[in-house]
Amino acid sequence: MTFSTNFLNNPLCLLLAAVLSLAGCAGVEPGTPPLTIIALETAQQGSPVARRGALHWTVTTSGGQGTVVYEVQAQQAGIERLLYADALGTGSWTPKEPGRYRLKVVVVDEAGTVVDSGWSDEYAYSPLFNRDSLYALLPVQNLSDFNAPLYDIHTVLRARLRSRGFQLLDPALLEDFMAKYRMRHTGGLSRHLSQKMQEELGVDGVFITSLETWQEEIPPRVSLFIRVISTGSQPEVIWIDSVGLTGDDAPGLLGLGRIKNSRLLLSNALEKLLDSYQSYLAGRSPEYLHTGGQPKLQQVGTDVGSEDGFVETIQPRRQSQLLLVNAESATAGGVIKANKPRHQPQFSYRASTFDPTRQYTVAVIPFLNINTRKHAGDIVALHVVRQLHRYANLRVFEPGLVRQTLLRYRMIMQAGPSLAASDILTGESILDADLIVSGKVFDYQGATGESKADFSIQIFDGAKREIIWASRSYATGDQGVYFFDWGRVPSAHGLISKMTEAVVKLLEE
Amino acid sequence: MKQKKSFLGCWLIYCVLLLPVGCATTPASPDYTSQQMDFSAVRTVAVLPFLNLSPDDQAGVRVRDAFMGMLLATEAIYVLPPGEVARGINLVGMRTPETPTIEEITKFLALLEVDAVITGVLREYGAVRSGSAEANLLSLSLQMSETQTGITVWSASSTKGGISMSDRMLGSGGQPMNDVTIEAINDLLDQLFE
Repeated sequence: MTFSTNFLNNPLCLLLAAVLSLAGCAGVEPGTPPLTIIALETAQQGSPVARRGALHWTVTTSGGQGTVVYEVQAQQAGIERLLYADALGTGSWTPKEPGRYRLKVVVVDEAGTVVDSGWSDEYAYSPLFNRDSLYALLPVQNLSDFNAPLYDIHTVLRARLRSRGFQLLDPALLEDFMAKYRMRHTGGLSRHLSQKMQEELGVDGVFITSLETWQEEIPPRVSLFIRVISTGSQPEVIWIDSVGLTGDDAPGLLGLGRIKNSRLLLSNALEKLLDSYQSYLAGRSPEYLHTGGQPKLQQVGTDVGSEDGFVETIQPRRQSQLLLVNAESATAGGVIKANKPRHQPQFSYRASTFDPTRQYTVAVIPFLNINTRKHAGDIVALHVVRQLHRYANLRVFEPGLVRQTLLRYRMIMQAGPSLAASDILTGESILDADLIVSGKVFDYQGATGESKADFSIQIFDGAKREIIWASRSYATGDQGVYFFDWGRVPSAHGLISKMTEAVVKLLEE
Repeated sequence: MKQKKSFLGCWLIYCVLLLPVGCATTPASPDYTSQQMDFSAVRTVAVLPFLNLSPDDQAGVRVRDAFMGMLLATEAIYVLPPGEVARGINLVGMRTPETPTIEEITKFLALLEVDAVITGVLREYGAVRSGSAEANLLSLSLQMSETQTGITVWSASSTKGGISMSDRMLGSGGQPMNDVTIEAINDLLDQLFE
């Protein structure tokens, strides 16, 4: 078999080759230098304490084609996470949790060229609280809609905290402070009171306890939320956890495992909560973070405004994965497990423009009560705060701070937040929230009988002024249970916890 | 042999009698879709509070919330948040937002920049009984009016749930109210987008 090259002498072939060589040049701007990172400068700002100090970075680049996007990643204990992706080459990041962090910047241009700066030096951030921190223990907030021995619960909690070595403020001093500032609401901390607590009492953190359920009749039920708030000009939720126990949780053989004493149940609940807080202080708290994938530019819409009429908006998107760090560590409610289909929302909507990997500040406003028991809206809102707090890219505002803003601006939202209300909550000089979470509670049954919950959640993007999430969740404790109560969720607390966990995971995935 | 033939004949007659029965259908819910309306132009809607004719006071709020979420979840139309709709109702000064007038509907265009408003009537919501059997039932009708002229461009209704044969035979109590609600809203959304 012979191969002929005679066709190369054909003038048509030469013409074709010339056209093809010209076509090869299409799309490449002549003289565009390649994308290069000249320098990445990183420096610590403020004290090297988590939530207080910041890590500043500036990246200088040259060349590249069209829009250049900077993606900042942090590495902690070998796990990489996405922090920021935008067109600005400088910024700062405040670590939410203690640890040793390194930064890296990945730059992408419109031609898809990806340049990596490599990892920076390691920066250490210590926890906000330590063994010498002084805490104030506020009286228990009763959301149970029943008469409960609040003073007894407070006393037991105080004794447990002391036995574990926590430094607590003298109750007489706290009482004087509360009388002086007419502090009646014990379910949250306003900016003013938080600052005064730090200045006048030298308190570093505040324990806020909310009693969700208290039932002494057999089977007894106890559900509690405890959160720790930092004091100062910007009170922040440092840790939050909750637990819901019933006497019927583990009846065992012939019902020998049943608990009939509510005090014993309370004691178990407090132990679980304090174990969880100590686990947090030791840096073993479960946390969700976004990781993995390669960045790429993606056209996400069009903006009117250029001379031509339309300009393509290009944003970086990455196929990230949601990773649960410290998955083996137990929260007060146990080890985090995969959500069951029966606890997923009936329907949900997430705006296509929403990027779950970005950093957001979130304000959760109390949910509206529709024909349910008193405080059901506050309880579901606390559940949502607890679930959102577990995500590294979300910073949830202290509910007391949100309450103070709502009261100051006399915002009564009988049908949820309007655009005007969201403008106030997202205003830079007011609360500066990126996302506003609200909702309605249609059913909450937990004190007696079969647990049942029905609620809807709506999330509003303040900057875009539009709804980015809507869902409706409904479940009963015995739903999908067929044999020997396997899989039954006896407490409404446990049910709502699983349902809100499923909603937040869908939002962030 | 003769007996076999007559038996076959009986079967044929029986089958012929059954045929017309198979043609019997439940009458479809009457719906209306304006032929002049370009529904692709409807980008944003406001869902007004539903007129609640059921004995449950909160049924209208429950069904409206589910409808708004499910309409939003179709990703075809943006639904204004309920708080913003409430603000619009106050600004327009509507006394009965469940049954708005044409003037009130057109005012929504200027105030909230919505292309259409959706109103609804909740006719039935809750358990129905027949003898010893009981089941949940929901009956809802919806109307869409465009805000340029205030005229109705779409109207449909749906009834779901109720006592089925299995409820009568086994006494299961029917589906949960939330499932019936979602079924009815899905039916209405199918009618809207078909």
